Amino acid sequence: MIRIAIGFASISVLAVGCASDPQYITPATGQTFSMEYDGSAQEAPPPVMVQLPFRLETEQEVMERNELATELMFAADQIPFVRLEDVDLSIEWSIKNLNADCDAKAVFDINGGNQYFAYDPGQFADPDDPEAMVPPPLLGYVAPTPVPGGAVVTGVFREDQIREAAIDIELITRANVNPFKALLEVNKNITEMPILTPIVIVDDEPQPQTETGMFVPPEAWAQLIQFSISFSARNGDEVPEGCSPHLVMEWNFRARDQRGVLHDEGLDADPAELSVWTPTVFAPMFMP
Amino acid sequence: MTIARWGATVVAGLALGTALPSAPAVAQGDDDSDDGSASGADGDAAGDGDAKAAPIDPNGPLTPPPDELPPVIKMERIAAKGFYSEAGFGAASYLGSARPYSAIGPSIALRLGYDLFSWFSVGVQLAVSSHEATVPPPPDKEWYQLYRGFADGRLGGRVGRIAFFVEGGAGGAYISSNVLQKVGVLDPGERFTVAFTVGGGIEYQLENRHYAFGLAGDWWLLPQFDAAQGVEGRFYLRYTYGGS
Repeated sequence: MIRIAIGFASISVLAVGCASDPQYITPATGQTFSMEYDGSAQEAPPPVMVQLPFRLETEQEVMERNELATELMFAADQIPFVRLEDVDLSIEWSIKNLNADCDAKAVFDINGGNQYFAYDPGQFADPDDPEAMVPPPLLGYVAPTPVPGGAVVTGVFREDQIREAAIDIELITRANVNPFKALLEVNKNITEMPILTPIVIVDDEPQPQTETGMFVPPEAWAQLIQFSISFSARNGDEVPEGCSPHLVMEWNFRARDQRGVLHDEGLDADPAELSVWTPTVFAPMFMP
Repeated sequence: MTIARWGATVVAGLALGTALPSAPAVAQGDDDSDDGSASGADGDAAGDGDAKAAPIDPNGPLTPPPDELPPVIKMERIAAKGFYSEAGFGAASYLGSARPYSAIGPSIALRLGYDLFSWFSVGVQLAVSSHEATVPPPPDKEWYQLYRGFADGRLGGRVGRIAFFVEGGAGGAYISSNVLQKVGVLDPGERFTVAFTVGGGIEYQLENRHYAFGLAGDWWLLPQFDAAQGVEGRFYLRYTYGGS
């Protein structure tokens, strides 16, 4: 009996090992996920936008989504194909300092969007007010990341951080929560999402909001499907005269696909086999 | 021959080996008891019946006639034959062009087989090894698993308690992530490949005929994973269910 148990345990270990295997989403053949910042050019590289390679929704899945909408009494088109629990995402990055003699500090931030809305912090600053406060990015570091001369620094935005970002963007866009509040509070463990009255900014001051009595059900919370990555750098604290930072940032996405919504071939897949969304950049209402 | 029968033979042999030499001693002891002494004269008296026989040293060891010696039991190990399973652990590493992108990693293996003959068996082997991907970052410090399954044949022979074998097979392999796609070992969407293996090993048979342990090494080829090659060494324990 013990031998049989050991046999089953061994087979179970092999089988469980296959569950939720990660898929690395790397750039399509011939492309790169990288940005180079050359301080001598005095210009940061433009943000890079990446939409993840989700496959097309099947008819069966559309039917199931409609049934879920009926059950939740929520509009079917407001239940996303890629939901929060469908895929666990993380972003792994590295920054290489190409200048061996000069320490540098890298600054980067990551914004993104789900299939309904994209988040751009600049949209929350009054364009007519140059001193208006800009909300933080969805993901990023408050302090610059030191990169010693000639060194490679690596890091990761973990799955729980991406989850937090996905919930934050839902709070900001579909629940109308003030972005400062949504981004500076920890929301990854919330269980309900009441919808507030829309954000109205009068004279750079957001107006009070009230609950509408409606909710975005957790089953309808969307996962991020696109990311916008920005990168810049500056000299370290003590650098020789004449130094200018010269850094290269690379990254890739790591996904644990719980429902099989990502295309197996990643960004190399036939575009006709991929879902394409054009999320609306969310902006509040400004009043003079 | 069952172990019980084999054990009984040993016991009988040992019993016989002690009983036979003691028989003359008992008789001689009887003589000794008659006069209450163990003198050399008694020994002479005992040999009086055969004047041509060599004189017996009463203090020397008693040796029975050769035809009365118990049979010498051969101590070679008996190994059961039939269905068997093996469980082992070890380490695996890539070779060649794929070697720089994966570190040596621990592996476990499970093998089920059947001895068609004492020198040939067929079986299936399942193995998994875990490797740290050492591709240029990112990603950094990421691990993945390589699962391998083979149907194979094993040719072998035994010398006493040591057995040798060579084996070869074909099957498939699955890699748990596409982390090696970045360096061209995998193509987009590729996770499965056919696989081939050859190897060999040495096995030590324990006194219990069902159990043996051994060391084995295998080389494998994964043609669709950019013809990646690797080796695995493992220590294993074998249990044979068969009774013959």
